[in-house]
Amino acid sequence: MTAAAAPPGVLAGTPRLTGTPHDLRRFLATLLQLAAAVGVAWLFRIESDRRLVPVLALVLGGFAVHAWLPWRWRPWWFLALSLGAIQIVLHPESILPIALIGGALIALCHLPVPYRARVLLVTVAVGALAVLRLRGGGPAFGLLGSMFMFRLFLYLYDLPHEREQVPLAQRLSYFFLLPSAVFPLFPVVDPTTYRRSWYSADASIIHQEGVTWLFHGMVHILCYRLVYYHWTLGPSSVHDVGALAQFVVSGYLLYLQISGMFHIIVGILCLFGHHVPRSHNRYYLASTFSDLWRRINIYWKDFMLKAVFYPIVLRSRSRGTGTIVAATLAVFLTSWMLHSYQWLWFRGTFPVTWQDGLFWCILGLLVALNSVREQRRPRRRAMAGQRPGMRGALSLTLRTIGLFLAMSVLWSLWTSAGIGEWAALWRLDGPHPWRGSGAVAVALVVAVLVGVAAQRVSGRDWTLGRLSRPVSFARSAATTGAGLAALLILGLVPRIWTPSSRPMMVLAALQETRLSEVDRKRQAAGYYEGLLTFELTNTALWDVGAKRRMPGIATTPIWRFTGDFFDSELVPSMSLAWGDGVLHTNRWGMRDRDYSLAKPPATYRIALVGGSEEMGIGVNDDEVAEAVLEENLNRSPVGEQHFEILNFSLFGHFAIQRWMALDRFAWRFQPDAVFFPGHDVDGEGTVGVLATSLRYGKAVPFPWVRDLLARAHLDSTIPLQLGKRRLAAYSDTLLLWAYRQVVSDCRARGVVPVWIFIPSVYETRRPGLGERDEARLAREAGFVVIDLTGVYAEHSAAELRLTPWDPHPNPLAQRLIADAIERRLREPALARGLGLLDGAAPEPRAPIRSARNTRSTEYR
Amino acid sequence: MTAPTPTADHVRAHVRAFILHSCLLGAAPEELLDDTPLVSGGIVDSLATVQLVAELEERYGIAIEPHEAGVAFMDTVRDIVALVMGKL
Repeated sequence: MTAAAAPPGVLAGTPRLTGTPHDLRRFLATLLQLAAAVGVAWLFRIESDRRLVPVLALVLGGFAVHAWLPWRWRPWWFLALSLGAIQIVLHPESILPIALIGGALIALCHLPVPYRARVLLVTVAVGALAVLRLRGGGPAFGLLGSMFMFRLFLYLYDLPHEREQVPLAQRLSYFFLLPSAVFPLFPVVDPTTYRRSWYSADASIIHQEGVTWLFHGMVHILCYRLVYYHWTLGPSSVHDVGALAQFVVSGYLLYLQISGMFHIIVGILCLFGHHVPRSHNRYYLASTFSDLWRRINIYWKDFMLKAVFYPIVLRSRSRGTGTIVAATLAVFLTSWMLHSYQWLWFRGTFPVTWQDGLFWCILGLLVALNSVREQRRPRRRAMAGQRPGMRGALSLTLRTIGLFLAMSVLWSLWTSAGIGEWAALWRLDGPHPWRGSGAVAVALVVAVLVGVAAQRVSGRDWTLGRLSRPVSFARSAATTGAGLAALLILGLVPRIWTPSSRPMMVLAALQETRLSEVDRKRQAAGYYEGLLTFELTNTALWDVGAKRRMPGIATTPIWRFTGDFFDSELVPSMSLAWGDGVLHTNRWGMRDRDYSLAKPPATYRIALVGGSEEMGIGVNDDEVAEAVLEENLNRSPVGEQHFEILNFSLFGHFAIQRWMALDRFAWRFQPDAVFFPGHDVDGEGTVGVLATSLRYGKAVPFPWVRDLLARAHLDSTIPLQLGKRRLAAYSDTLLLWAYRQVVSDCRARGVVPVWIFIPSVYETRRPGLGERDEARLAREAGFVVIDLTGVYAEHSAAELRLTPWDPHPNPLAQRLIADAIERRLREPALARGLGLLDGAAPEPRAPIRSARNTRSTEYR
Repeated sequence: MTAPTPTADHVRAHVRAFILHSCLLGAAPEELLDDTPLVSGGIVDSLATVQLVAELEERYGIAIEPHEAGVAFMDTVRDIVALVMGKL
């Protein structure tokens, strides 16, 4: 039994069509591996937030049909699948605009007017769309940009040179390319290469290569997760040589996610016959900058060669060194601008930063220098089968390690928050700046030994451009199949046995799509710092911005800045449709229902001063834990009193600002108790608030804090991350001080201070770790402590967070928090302590060792 | 009297010789196949492409356009031969 063979002349647009009939066994072997790949993607939730799994399921079914269709129908089938993928990934209402705008842009390219007029029309149309995007066009613009904004110009560039009739389906599918729906970061593929590579080799071999690339892509993404979840560091944690090396190297390794995506993209295209070139070819093994440029994103490289390098060089009379250098530099300057242009479509801004400029200019210069050197001394390649000598192996290994480290450093510059921040990274001013040097030296020696041994044992090096043997279907299917089977087993293990040991927990974490602990804390702290402007690319935080469905609240009219250390507050009596919910503020500026200023008789009032979680980011008014708790307590009261919980929580506020909120808002409502939530990010957040205030010249209105800043040698000239690093050593001291101010103020008014620890949605279990530091500090300050650790024990993080990239509690998590607090309040001992039963007064407490007297009067 | 038009075999031999000499020094000639990926396989880089284009233009009196100097038209010996023969 065979699939349909290509009849001669059917596809004039694909003159190199050499697809041959394949046998049923090969087809079934590929199909089986593809099914396993879908299983692996499902088990490990590979790019699940991009809906890769249902798209891969579509690819599985689509491939099974495609491989047996007559040739003339295959492009149409692939186009139909591509549109189906868009349907899966986007909201249905986004599809029609994309199809209409996309269709119109393609039609402009074929208008019966002179070529220059068409170029002008397309440019004007794209410019108009760019303006719309800059004015806040929706997420569909990201996909539209990915599909059209580079390909359109390549398509126009090639149009006058087309020598063959191109089927309409191939024209359309070039733009509405199936993987683009899932991976918008793949904008550039050459239209001629796309067409000419269609079944340019044996069909079964191309299909098998497709599955192999899918497998490689998934391995890259799993390696990325290992690094991202377990090895990345925040810049404020870099105190010594070891941490610096870890920060710099892990940042560069995060690129594994991008290379994984590219492999999956190429894999999907191969499954439908598009034998496009291999990208990201062992790029960490590059030994020169030119070598890296040839290996890494070859689609971009080919685009730049075609659009910039060759036109400059080949149209120049002199094709000497000067022209080559000028053309190379032009390539990198263009890359810089076009990367900003790419961000315009994804994020609606056109970022032009020093980091970008320096990165592209330095890289361009280094590649140009390499090119000049290679022009004078052409690369020599080892003969096939020639075993590398010891000297050659050592030399290649050292060059490879050197380039890897150089790129890691350059990458850290590119992804830094600013040049000053990057420079501050290298000022190791911790108590032991040389700590970790030994481990770094050992790692380097091991890398050298492994590199040399790998070449000597395998009998070959890793230089690019070797002649390779033709791909063997059986060998490829066997290795890929075995790899996929191993991943399936690894994916099933944590689902069969509950993760308890460290390796099992690491394995279980590989199956999650989420922010790392480092990024989660940076995200929480970053609300204040403004980091969520998403200029950072060293972490997955940049991705948060691309995926966020709702604007940052600070950009909405319901939010206003106070201009002082308190920073910001809600505007009273407003309503905002935000994300999937609605946010109302009452006349006092609380996210809450309305309350009278005077406390009604027989009412127990609680003032809640929290942050974004308590304010209820991303959930409706009636789903916020405070609202649920208030309703529950009044439905079945504790004691004889009515309950009012006044929610003064504010997004991005940490300990010191929450204490300030008591004075600004809460005391005039005569609360009986203050609920002061605690989180595991409070220390980092409080430090972030102080460091940012200092950096941006905001006066800190507390002498005690100012003294502490002076002791830490901090002033407004210190870069933000360096300031945070220095302040990190004082985070407990700062928290304790803020807690004591709260307790002291409460005591002075006869109010019960209650500290409630609310864990992160990722902390569903905390076996045997004892009392956390924050709780110890709260107890020491004199709070009544309610620790909700374990509140999420019956649920996974995926059930509790708003989205994979937004760990704020969703409605379920909010309800669990409310229920847990209610249970604790109904415990007689606690209820008596809070004065809820029999009108009992709050329990007397020990005198506070207060720093109250040091508080600034400037603020009062 | 004009020079005879080169045959595809002639162009093929010329292209192979250039690649073996400039980009695959030391490789056995029989390992370079007509469909060996040259650009996408990292054998011929942009500098070698510029040199090859200059060589072909000079030898055969043809002009290779910038859009033709890349992976789409010059990824294999077979592609290059087809490109040159199409211009003769």
